[in-house]
Amino acid sequence: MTSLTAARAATGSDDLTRTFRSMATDVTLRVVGARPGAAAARDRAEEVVVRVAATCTRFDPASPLMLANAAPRRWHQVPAELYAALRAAADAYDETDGRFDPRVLDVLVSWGYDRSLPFRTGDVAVAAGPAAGQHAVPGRRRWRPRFDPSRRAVRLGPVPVDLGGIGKGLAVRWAAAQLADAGTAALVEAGGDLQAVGAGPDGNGWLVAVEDPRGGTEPVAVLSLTDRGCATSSVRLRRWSVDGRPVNHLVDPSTGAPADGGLLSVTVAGADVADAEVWSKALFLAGRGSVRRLADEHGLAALLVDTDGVVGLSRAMRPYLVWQADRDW
Amino acid sequence: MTEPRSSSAGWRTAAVIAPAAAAALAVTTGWAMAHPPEGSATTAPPLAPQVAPAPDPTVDRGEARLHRQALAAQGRVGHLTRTLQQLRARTEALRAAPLEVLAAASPVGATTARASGGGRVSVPAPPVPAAPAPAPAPATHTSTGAS
Repeated sequence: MTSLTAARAATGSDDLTRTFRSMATDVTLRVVGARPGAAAARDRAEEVVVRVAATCTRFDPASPLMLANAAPRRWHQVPAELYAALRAAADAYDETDGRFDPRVLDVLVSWGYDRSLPFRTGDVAVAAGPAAGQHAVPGRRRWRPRFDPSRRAVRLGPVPVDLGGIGKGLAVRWAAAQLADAGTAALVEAGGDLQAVGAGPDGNGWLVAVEDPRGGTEPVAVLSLTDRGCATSSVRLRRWSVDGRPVNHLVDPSTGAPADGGLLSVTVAGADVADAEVWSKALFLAGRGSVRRLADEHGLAALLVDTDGVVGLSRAMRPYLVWQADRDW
Repeated sequence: MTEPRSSSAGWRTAAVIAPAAAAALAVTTGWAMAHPPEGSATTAPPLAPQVAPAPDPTVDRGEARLHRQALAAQGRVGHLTRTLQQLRARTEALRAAPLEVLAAASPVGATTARASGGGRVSVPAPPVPAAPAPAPAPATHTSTGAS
């Protein structure tokens, strides 16, 4: 948790809040104005998150995802959560013209990111993996996974996939669905991805601080979200050095290199948190020169911070903006 | 065909009404000059420099004080109106921009001017007035950005 979240509104007596660790981040479920059955709904929401994490993790070689990755050219019957996640990833790949591409697992592993790394402790340095430099550029060939809904089976194709980002967004989406009628409002958040249900504790929207990617304690903006999802892609936290070379978790599928497009963070708000997660990553990878055109072309509500400290927002983001930093960097 | 001539009674009536109308017009004109209408803030003409009125023994001192206060208030309204118009224009310009810059470094450079001898001298940019302290961020329910 950051210092920004310490400024949360006071929790009322009819609020239900639970925070737990999953998907290598803190997950918070909050219900405001709890109705009968809210506690059970919250339990179901937590179970959803735990199930998605268990099936879609790449850090457990026995997870359904990694079993499929171990033989990606073969058909695999998979749990419902993994099937839906892979289906959503394929749709996102098409919608973003391949800017979102989950076939980055080999690249990340070659950079030593084959386990949870202690990013919050500060500088992280690892040795290159055994397959360093031997992986193919993910985006060189089109991704064509195959799906058989009658058997709930998938065939990934020749290259293993990582569902880290979209998996988290989907977990938040599905957990929020469990809380839809649990109270007057609800919020699910997990490591920068969040889904706001209803208009918040005061009926004026959930107020969300967009953190300063340079690490400042003050946000760069505050958004008001009602029945909206939000996600931020940033290299503030998940970055490290491999054999002295700086890398981050946002891999450009067209080059196989870490994202280096002159941006520090991209925040996207929209109807759904998983879609926001996908597009925040796609816009980040598009880089400073293309992010504006791409966001407006797709009607995306986007707020970005570039490496010069410039904060910008797309047309569609304006209705959500309730406060902005008014200072020079 | 000629117009019928007016009767003597009609002329007498006119002779009575005309001076009365003239007198009434003079009174209303004088009142109107002393009581200018309240114009809308956006259409009021620029205010002329205010000059304190000469003391008039026939005017109550309290009324004169109120008059001065009204003039001062009018001046403040004019200033606020101009400020509002500037802010509206700025807001419109920001809305029209496809990608707004919310915060960025804004270098303050020097300009050059022709010196009397024909050369150019550097003229430092005018000092930028200190901006008012920005409003603090409102209390939030959560944050995004750590992904």
